[in-house]
Amino acid sequence: MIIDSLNYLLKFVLLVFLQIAIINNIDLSTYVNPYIYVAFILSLPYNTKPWVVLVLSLLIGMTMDSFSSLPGPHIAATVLMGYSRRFYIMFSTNKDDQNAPIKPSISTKGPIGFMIYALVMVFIHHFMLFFLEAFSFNQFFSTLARIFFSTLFTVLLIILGQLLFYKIAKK
Amino acid sequence: MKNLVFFIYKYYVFFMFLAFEFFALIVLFRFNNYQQASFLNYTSSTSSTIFNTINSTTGYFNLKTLNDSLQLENARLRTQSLQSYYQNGITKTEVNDTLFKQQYFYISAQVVNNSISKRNNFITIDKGAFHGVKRFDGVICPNGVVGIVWQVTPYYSLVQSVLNSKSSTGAKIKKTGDIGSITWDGSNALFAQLSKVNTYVPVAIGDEVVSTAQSASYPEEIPIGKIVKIDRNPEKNDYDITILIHTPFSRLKNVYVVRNLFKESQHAAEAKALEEEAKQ
Repeated sequence: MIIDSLNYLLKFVLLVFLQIAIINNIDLSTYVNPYIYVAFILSLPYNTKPWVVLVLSLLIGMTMDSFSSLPGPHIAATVLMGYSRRFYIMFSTNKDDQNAPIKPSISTKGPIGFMIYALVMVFIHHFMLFFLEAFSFNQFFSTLARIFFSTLFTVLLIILGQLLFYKIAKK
Repeated sequence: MKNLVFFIYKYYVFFMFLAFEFFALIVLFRFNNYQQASFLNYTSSTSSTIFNTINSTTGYFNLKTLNDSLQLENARLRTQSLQSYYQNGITKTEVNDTLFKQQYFYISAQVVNNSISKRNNFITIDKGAFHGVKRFDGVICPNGVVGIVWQVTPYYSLVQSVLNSKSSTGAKIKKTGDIGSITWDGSNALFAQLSKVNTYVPVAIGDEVVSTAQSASYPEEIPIGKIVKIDRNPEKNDYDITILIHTPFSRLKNVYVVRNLFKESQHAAEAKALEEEAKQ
């Protein structure tokens, strides 16, 4: 339990660091803004108490917001994602799994299952985030394109990261 | 009452979710509306230190290009300095120059944090109120305009980049002197849009677009960009012009904050004119 918590703490710090030090500086295009820190919320075990998920979402959202010049969008987006995660899990897994400390990953959900899970969750997050950042419905389709491409990139990066760490863990 | 408590207890996660979202929106609206309330104030001490660390590490990567651009600028300034002019007279007299009064004051600053791919991009620089930076001062770099100071903290400032949906920079076409306004549509960090230029103005592809002193934030004729595309806007009888921005936003490092020493008096004069107009 303690080792698990420490593990997640390390993951939190590592993901936030990766996000602000590297990913935020890539500036590939205005349509590609991946936010990989959401992987932290995605990887919480199924049986994590809903309020814990919400508090952790708030914490990581606040951390990200304190590094951005427009505070608020990250909190709102991550909390929304943390809240809707519960319903996705209810809908996609059976009762036994929901009460077991299973961590959603490629090895537990399978590559396709995990990809769909990540796509849905990241899309919800990015949808909220990019619309709040734009702060208007002007250029609605340009914002939608931003959301679409960024979601694809975020999921790609999360899966690449998973494969990397999964391989290491296996050895 | 008991039922209410039970109801809240049963759906406590939902209420927590609502509370958190509400909190997020309050933070967002506060920052968007309040002029002075700055989130940067609360977080600057920690996040700026971290940004500084990241910055001092990555700063080494583009030292060479940076040196080149600074050297070019030095050369240009040297050419403009008095010593590089041939002195015709034999006697030198010192005069108290009343013809030229200093209007602009430049504060050199380093970019600490920068983004170009968001819809609303901001730049953090390492100079603040302590160094004399004030809100709405212009920020330029050797190649062209960068943005307007948006928030000022004692040691750092947040600059609203030209690459921001809310920014609108007064500009003019260098050749003809006609004024327009620069905005950014958010699709590409290399291009910006010049609007409000009337169709009778003879614009051509390749024309230089420069800043104007009318907004009082920038000095006259700081380069902004070059016209690359001209479309006619039939509804409003003006042009939709696309310009290629000269400022290399993706590798911005050294910038100057421009303090217009006459800005307050310019604004005071304009406010007076408006007042009198309102009276009539």
